[in-house]
Amino acid sequence: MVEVRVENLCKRFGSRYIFNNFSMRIENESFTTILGPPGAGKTTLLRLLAGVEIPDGGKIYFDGRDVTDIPAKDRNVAMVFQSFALHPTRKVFDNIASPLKIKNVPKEETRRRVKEVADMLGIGDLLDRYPRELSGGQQQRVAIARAMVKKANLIFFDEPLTNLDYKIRESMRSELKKIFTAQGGTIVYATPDPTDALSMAKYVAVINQGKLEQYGPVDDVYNYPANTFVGYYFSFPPMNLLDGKVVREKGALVLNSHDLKVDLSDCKEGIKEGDELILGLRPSQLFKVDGDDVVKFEGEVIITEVIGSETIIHVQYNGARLAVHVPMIYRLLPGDKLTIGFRPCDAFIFRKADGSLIRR
Amino acid sequence: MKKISFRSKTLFLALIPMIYLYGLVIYPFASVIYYSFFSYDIGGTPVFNGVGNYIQLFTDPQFYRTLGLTLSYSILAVGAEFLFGIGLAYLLVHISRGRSVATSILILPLVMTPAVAGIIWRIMFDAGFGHVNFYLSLIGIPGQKWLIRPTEAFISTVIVDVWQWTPFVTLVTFAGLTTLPVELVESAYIDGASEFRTFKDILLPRIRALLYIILFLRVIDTLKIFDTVYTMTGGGPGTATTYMSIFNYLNLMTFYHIGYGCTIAAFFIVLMNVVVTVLSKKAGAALFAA
Repeated sequence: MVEVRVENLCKRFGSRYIFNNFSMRIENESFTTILGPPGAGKTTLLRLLAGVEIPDGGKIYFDGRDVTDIPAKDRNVAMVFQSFALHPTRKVFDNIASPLKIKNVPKEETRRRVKEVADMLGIGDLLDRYPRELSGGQQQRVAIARAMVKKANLIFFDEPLTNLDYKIRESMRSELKKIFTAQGGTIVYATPDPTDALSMAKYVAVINQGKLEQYGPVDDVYNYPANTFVGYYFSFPPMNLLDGKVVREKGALVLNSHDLKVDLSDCKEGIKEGDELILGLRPSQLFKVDGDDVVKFEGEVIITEVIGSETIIHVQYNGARLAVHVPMIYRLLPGDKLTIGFRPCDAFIFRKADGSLIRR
Repeated sequence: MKKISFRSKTLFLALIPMIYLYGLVIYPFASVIYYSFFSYDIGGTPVFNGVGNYIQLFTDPQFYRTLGLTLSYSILAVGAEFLFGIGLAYLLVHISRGRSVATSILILPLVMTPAVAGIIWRIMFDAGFGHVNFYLSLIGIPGQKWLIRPTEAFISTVIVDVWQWTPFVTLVTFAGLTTLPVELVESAYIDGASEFRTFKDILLPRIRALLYIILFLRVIDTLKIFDTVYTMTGGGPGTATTYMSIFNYLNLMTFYHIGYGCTIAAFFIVLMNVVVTVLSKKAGAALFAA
């Protein structure tokens, strides 16, 4: 219910800058994911937006109103922490009710609102328990309920699923999405996991070392990563990045990377012979690809990783190492041969010098 | 030679703590109980007296006075130590600079030998040339007869205990607070709780078990207070600062009433056991809840 704008934000701890002239926008009524590796500044950004941390420079606007100097309690925001931050000595009801108690909301209304939120999150029958009597997933629901009961303008999530195990994380994702779609409101969700962004968010902001690498609707960012970092990070498993060179073959410009060839004739950008480029291949677009123009090649298996019901096979080909994502369990032994391929239109081509995307 | 089985070896080893327990704890304890039933002054022979000593104890007005004084001393001192100690811990949490300097200063009273502290405070509280009266006179407050009048002497001993042990409460509370996750404070802050309320309603309950342990240690320590007070007032003036341990000591070592002294000690042991049991149960329950 609020649009957020951040302008030239600076924040440093000691002499180390976390943000230096950081600007971004968060759409009204959207689910925005802040995606980045650990240490990128995700948590710090949320804390700055929530008002827990005070910026060293720059401005933060909520709906055009400058809130930079407004304390957290007057920003009407809520935050869900990775560690849940529940009070172990209080029952679930009192945990959820705590923000209302601070605001002196009448008892009857408190009871009604807590019940409503708890029912929505499926923890309505756990209100009389203590947090230690709940499972991790249930505790996280309590933490989310506490954030939602406030009816805040903005809800921040700081890696809320990181402390949960794999299976619960998957079911929480779909459930959260359902709840937030029903509830509405502006949600900012920090996570290191690209799957979170892909499965739940409408917008994604990829940040790295305090820099906004790319921001936009999830599908746009996924399909057109601005640079190698976004391509590599916003992909599960990470995108394969292979070095290559532009060569001229039969009069046309071709990218040659470890003897894998991609035609560059449709590139509008000024590319000339000898330019150094990077070929980006998504692991999920390598296995069992058919078609007339598919570039097929045979890799030698290095190792097979089975994750849940999926497999990631690491192969090498002509000095290049690639990960191949197989959407089923598929065990191969080191040394086995695996025929893979890609459609040239699925390949991402980046400039090596600055990592920027040239074409996909 | 017959081989000693593993079992007998283990049993033999298990004897060592038993010998320790018997020799150093049970034997002296049993002797105290034993002699508490005898009329026995130094130089004389012990004569069985039945519960005579106990009747004497429970009809001795000095005993009730001592008991009352000891309890008042304990409640006042521990209460003040908690109030100031937790208050200082609150300040320590909230200052961003000079925390290590502050803690170094706080440690100073703690490292002083209590007997020496008592002697120094005796000099400081001296009505004629003491520092306390000198500084009071600087701000226009007339000198008090600190160790001369009963009430003032009692207050002096409480002040010294508070001076010496408040830092203990502060440091342990502060240490406990620093182990709490910062998210707790932040989530309360976002929800609009004031700093004081966050401290009182969220942080302190989280270290409840620790607070009970501090309370436990301080109550036991104050109930058996001896060294500081003995070197400072010797239990006087009159009997104004004759707390349990001093009362016991005087009867045993000054008046040489061995039997009666043992009766006081026996009662004291029972009293301390009750206090320890109650407080440790509380602390245990709090630990479990946390």
